Parts: sequence; structure tokens; C-alpha cells
Amino acid sequence: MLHVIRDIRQWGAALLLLICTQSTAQTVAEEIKTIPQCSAGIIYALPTGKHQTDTPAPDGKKPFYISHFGSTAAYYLEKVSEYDQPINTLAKADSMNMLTPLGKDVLRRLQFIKEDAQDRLGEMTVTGAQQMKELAQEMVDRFPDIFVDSCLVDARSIVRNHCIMSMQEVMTQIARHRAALKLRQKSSHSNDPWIYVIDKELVDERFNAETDATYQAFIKANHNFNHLWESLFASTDYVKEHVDTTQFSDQLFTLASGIQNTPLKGTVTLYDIYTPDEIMQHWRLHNAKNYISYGSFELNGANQPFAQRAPLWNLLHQGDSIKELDFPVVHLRYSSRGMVMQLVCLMELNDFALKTADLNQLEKQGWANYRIAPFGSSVQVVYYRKDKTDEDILIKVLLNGEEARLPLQTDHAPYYHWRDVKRYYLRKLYAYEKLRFDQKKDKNE
Amino acid sequence: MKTRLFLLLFLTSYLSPLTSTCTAQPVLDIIKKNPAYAACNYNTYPDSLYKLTPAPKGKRPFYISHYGRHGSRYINNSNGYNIPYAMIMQAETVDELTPIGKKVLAEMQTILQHSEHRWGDLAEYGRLQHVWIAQHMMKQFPEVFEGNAWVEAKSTTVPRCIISMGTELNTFAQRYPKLEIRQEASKRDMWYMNHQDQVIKRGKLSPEAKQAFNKFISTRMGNSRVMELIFKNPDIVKQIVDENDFSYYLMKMGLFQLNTHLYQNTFLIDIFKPEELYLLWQVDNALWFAQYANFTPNYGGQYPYTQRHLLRKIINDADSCLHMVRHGAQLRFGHDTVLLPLVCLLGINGYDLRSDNLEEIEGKGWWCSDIFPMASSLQFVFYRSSPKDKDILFKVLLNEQEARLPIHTDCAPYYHWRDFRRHYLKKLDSFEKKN
Repeated sequence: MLHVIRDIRQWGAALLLLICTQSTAQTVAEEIKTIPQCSAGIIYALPTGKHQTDTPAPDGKKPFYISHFGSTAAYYLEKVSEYDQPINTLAKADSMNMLTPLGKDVLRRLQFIKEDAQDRLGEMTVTGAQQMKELAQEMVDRFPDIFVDSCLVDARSIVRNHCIMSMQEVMTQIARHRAALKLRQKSSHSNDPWIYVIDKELVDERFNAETDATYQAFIKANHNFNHLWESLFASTDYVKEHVDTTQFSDQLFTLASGIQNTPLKGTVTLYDIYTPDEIMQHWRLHNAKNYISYGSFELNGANQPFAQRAPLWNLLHQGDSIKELDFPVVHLRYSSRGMVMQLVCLMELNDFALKTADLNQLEKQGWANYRIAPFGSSVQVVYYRKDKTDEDILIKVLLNGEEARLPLQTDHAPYYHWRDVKRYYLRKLYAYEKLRFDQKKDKNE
Repeated sequence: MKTRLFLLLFLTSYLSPLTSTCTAQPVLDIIKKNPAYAACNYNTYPDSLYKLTPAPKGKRPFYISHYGRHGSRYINNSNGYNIPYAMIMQAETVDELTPIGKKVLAEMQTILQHSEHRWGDLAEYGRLQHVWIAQHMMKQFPEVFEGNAWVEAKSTTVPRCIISMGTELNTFAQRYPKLEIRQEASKRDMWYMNHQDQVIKRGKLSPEAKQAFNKFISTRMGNSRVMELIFKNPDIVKQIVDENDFSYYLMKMGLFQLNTHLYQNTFLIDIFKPEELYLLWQVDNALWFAQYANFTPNYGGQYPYTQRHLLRKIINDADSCLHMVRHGAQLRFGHDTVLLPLVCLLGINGYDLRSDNLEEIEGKGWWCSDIFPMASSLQFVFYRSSPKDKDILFKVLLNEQEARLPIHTDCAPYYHWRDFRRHYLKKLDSFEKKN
């Protein structure tokens, strides 16, 4: 009888998940229309306070290990030029009396934005700190079986101020939970090989001639900002002659996107200067660039996600060693959004392994950067078992807190058998190593 | 370190350490028991809970203002290690190493290998030191953290300081989950957290100071005994190995490991006699005094005033917190090159010693290893009877031990805050007026 009830519970939960997924399966355009901040892409901050439903684990298995790979919280832009250049563009026009009243007002707003970032370039914002605290609390509340007295929480961050501070906010919040937790945190270049990986060969392949031509055509098709220029500048001839519109529009939109993460939120906005269509166009451009750089774009070989094979390897190896321990463990890793995005694509979570040569497919098929790697994003692999003798370990993967689909069969979705998962990813990684080996061989011959 | 490397390149003369006439036994005795003491700013921090004077009658601690150094770390870069390593490697290629020399080379290779990609990182031992310090603070002054208390922590933007800060905060949070904690590591605060003076540049010695320092160390560098131990033919090796630099950096390389995960391996330290480590300490102690304290030949001995912004900030911050109803602490995490001059500026335990004679500082008790070991700190602990109390008292802890200030008090080790303010604001005002 018990197992019947359990089965009903499982089916019920799966059904509920299906309903939720269906009901929230908005198109990208609908989502951005409802929440324009999503158009910020990887500058968007993952919202907290979402009630996440957990499908009950089968056969009374309990979580004993969380392996997390996440991104930093929101931070100020790293270069002063990112603030100065758009300001200078407007200031120059202003000096020649070429700004409309709205243009003058936008210049004033940009100066506020720069002032807020003064001496804080590259540093985590206050909103970012709050986001990290809330995400940490949600993790603790969600997995009471893990955060018990004997638990070890080991956190690592890449050597970047905003990343270390993100880790730190999380750790302080977790520390509040229990006096007996064993906490360790570290930030060292000695961890770079598995937490901050840049594959130079893959980077070199990113914008090959074909990719570049396709991307330029995509920019052309999504760069209809005449309304914007007319509203900011007094003369379109001036814009043609003096403004690098591709660069300026990109920089202005980046600043518009970042306000949501600063204390200026609610006081200053730049979204009012854009039409909904202009916002969509900006998002498309950033999203396509992210896809080319981190996703499986066919024209550059579709291999960019493989840059994160070392973090995936690390994740697989740690999974095997932790199962020998008698106490729960949480491994937290704080890296960059680009790396989280590559890892999500490499792990083929949900539909983010999308492989296409057509950048227009991204929006149609829901490949949206803000869904994958916004500020505060994470991949969490949660391991379940009955006890230490249980050899059939199950895992589930949370992408930004939500149960995710993996590219393999399972009889307990969203739970997967660890042995299947390991085998699948190891085969994938080995096949790629073989490809690199063959490429090298061809080169040498 | 870079500065010292630079300085030592200019050293030209040496004598055998055995010819030294200095006989300050107490320091030597300390080094015999604890070789890390010879490493000055690489001295390791102990887990000791000191006995403190009870609170003044009718008053309770309610606010702590702190400046602390990061915990034990790896050396910042490979320069100091590369010097002796390059020399011994060259000797190896011409087959001039003894069996001990070969073992020394192997040890150096291990150290270099383990330090790679960890330059400047906080070591696990350093992290532990901050757990201890936070635990001691909560044990000694629970009233500061109880109830609806707050802690505001600032760190310099250097990762090892941020992790040091984080470790203390986590330790507080585990014991006091309701504590309101704010933490930051921003360039915005660097003007007082890690101030670099434009006039008196960090680590730079005036020509007169350099001359006096070179004279002081001329009888303390070099080590022919160790040269004979490591090299088959020291006379031949002298053509490729600088004895002064080699022995100096080899000693340091060994001592620094007491801070890292290689702390159990004392092979390099054991090569040296305590007397030789003591000479190294004398050299470094004099260098720190000349560069960062009141050594009058060095720009009039005014270097400690580089920390005037920090001292003013500590005073201003305290002023704005003393009548708050809530209890709390302001913690600042930074560096030895800030803490040392701050201690000298405050004149804690007589460290404001002014002198033009490097030979006398040791005899007068100016021992830098007591001031700024790894994780060293200065804590101002404030006491009052109520938020309306007009006679606020405080005491200063240097590395968690009660310290003396050069101002009058009728309730030592406590001091009246109003006396402190008056004395030090006047001191800062008069310096700023003159300059």
C-alpha cells in the first residue's frame, strides 16, 4: 500500500511540475514584455523568493551531497570606459547643441549612474549581496537533511573581488544556520584549472570568418534604432557623422540593464527611452553573442561548451569521492557567468544544448541568456541515497533552483541514476578529447 | 619583500655572524623556543586566550573598533625564493653541492612547486587564526555581540584580507545567528584602510637611513658555516653564489613555510643555529624600524603619520557609535604595513620609540615580531554604564593582550575616551598643520 501512495505522490508531483512548466512556458518575447529587466541577459539578476517545488525522491532516498557551480552576484562594470564612453558621446553632442531635451536628460542620468559606480568598478553591488544571502537561505531551507551539524561546507571562488564577496555573503548566511557546521572558504589561483577555465584554442575558433559574417548580418537585421536616435539627438545627420551607433547603442543598453542591480533601482531608469521592439532587438544581439561564445553554434564548430570540461570532470570526480564519507557535504564554486553558461550547454540541461547555425532560432526555441546564466545563476547537482550502503545513487540537477532535464533516460525523472549520468558525461568528454587529439594529429602531419 | 630585495642588492660587505657582539638574550631565547619569531612579519599567531582585567566598576563592554592583519599566507611572489634557488641551481650544474646541499635543493624545489599559483594566498593556518580570534573576542566580550548587535566589517580589496574577514564573520554568525552583519571590500575605503602616502613612499629609505641600515647589517649578514655545509668548495662557489643573499633568503624560505601547509617540514630551518636566526631577526627588525617606525634619519621619523587617516577614521567612527543604544563592532582587515605604523603612531607599549641608532632599538624593547605577526590586530574595547554615560572608558588590545598608551590614566589598563580623543586629535592636527 505504501508504495502505491508513494507512486501516486511521485506521479502527482511530476504532473504538477508538468502543469507548472506548461503554465510558465512563456515565449521569450512575452517574458521580456512582462519583465523588461530580463532583456539585460546575463546582467539580469536571478530573482529570489520563488517557491521551488521538489519532486519527492524515490524509495526513501535522501540528499547527502550538493555539488554547486555558480556565478557571481551583480557587480558594477569593470572598466571606467564603459561608463565614460557613452557619457562622452552624449556630452560631445551636447557641447554642439545636438541633444534633444530627452538626450540632455539621459546624459544627466548617465552621470548619476557613473557617480554611483565611483570607486566601485568590478565590485559587488548591495543588491547583489542581498541576492546571495537570500539564495543561500533558500538552499539551507530546501535541504534540511544536508545542513545538519556534521555537514561540511567547502566554498571556492575565482580570484575576483565580486566573486569572493558573493561566496562570502553566502557563507555568512549559511553560518547563521548552525554553530556546528564545518565551514571552509578559499580563493586561490591554484584552483583555476577546474573553476576558471579559458580554452584558448576554442576562444580562437569563436569568431571565425563565417561566424563573424553571420553575426554582422544579424546585427544589421536587429539594429533599427532610428526612433532612439531621433529622440536623443537633434539631427540624424549629426548621428551619421559623429556617432558610432553600434558601439553607442550597446554601451547605453548595458548601462540601462545594470541599473536594476544598483541602489539607483526605482529612482533612475533608462527603459523609458526604448520602444518594446528596441528592447527586444538589444536583447537579441546580446543573446546571439552569448550563444556564439558559449553555446553550441554550428558555424564555429559547436564546441564552445567543451571549454568547461575540467569543471564537469571535477564535478564527476568529487561525486565519486564524497559517497565514501559519513557526513553530508556541500561544495560551492563561484565562477563567472560565461562559465556557468558553457557548463549548462555542455551538460545539455533542458533544451540549452540547442545546436543551430541560424541565430533566429534562439528566440524561437527559448535559448535565452537570462534563463541560463544571469547574476546568481547556478547548476546544483544534488545526490540522493538511502544510506552509505546504497549503491544506486540518484541525482537531480537544479538549474537556477529549478529541477532540470538531463539528456539521458531515467525511470525517475527528474532523478537520474548516478552511474548513467557519469557514464554519459564521461563518454561525451572522452569523445571530445579524442576529437582534439585527432585535430592535433592532423595539424602535425 | 620587494623593497628588501632591492635594498639587499646594494649590500656589499659582510662579516661572519660569529663576530657579532650583540647579546640581547631574551630575543634569542624566544627564537630558541619558537623559530617563527625570527621571521618578524611572518611570525605565526598563537591560539592563546589571555587573562584580561575585569570591566571597570558599573560599566560593560559595548563596542569594539578593530584593525587586523590577514592570517598566515604564502609569500606574495617568487622573487625571494628565486634568488637562492637560481644560485643553488647554478652550483648544482657545476657539481658543487654536498649531499646536504642536494637535499636543500630538493626542499627548495618542493617549496617552489607548492607555492606556485598560491602567491599571496591565505593559508589554511591563516584561516584558522581568524576562527580563534573571533572565538576569543566572543568569549572575552560576549556583551558586544549579544541581543540585536551589529558588526560592520571592511577589508582591503586583497583576497587574503577578504577571506580573513569572512572567516571571522562566519564564526560570529555561527555563535550569534541574529547578528546584523555588513561586509565590504571596496576601493572606496582604501584611502584609510591601506593608505599610501605620496610624500613618504612605502618602504623607501632616505640616503642617510640607507647608510645607517647598511652599517648596522654589515656585521650581521653572511654565513660561512652554512656555505661549507651546502657547497663542496665554498671558495669556488663564491664566484657564483652571493653568501649574504643566499643565507638570508634561504633562512627566510625555511621560516616562511611555518605559515603554509608545509609547516611540518622544518629541514631548512634546522640547518641554521638559533644564533643565526637571531641575526636574521636583528637585520629585519632594524629594517622594519628604519622603514616604518620613528627612525629619525628616515624623513624625520615621520612614517607612522602615514596612518593619520586611519586613526582619524577610528576616532570618528567611535564618536558616532558611542551613544548608540545597540551594541556592535567595526572590524577592518588589512596589512602589516598599515598596522605597524599605526601602532607606532599611537605609541602603544612604547613602540613610538624615536631613535637615530639602530643598535639601541632591540635593547629598548622595539621587537617587531610582537607587533605584527600574521593575523595581528589592534582592538579598542569600549565600556559604558548606559548609552547616556558621559565618561566612556576603553582599553587597547595588541594581539589580544592589554596594552599601554602614552597618555595619563587613573584606571589602567582603561583610559578615558575623552583624554584619548583630545591627545591624538591634537597630535594629528599639529602634524597636518606643519605639513
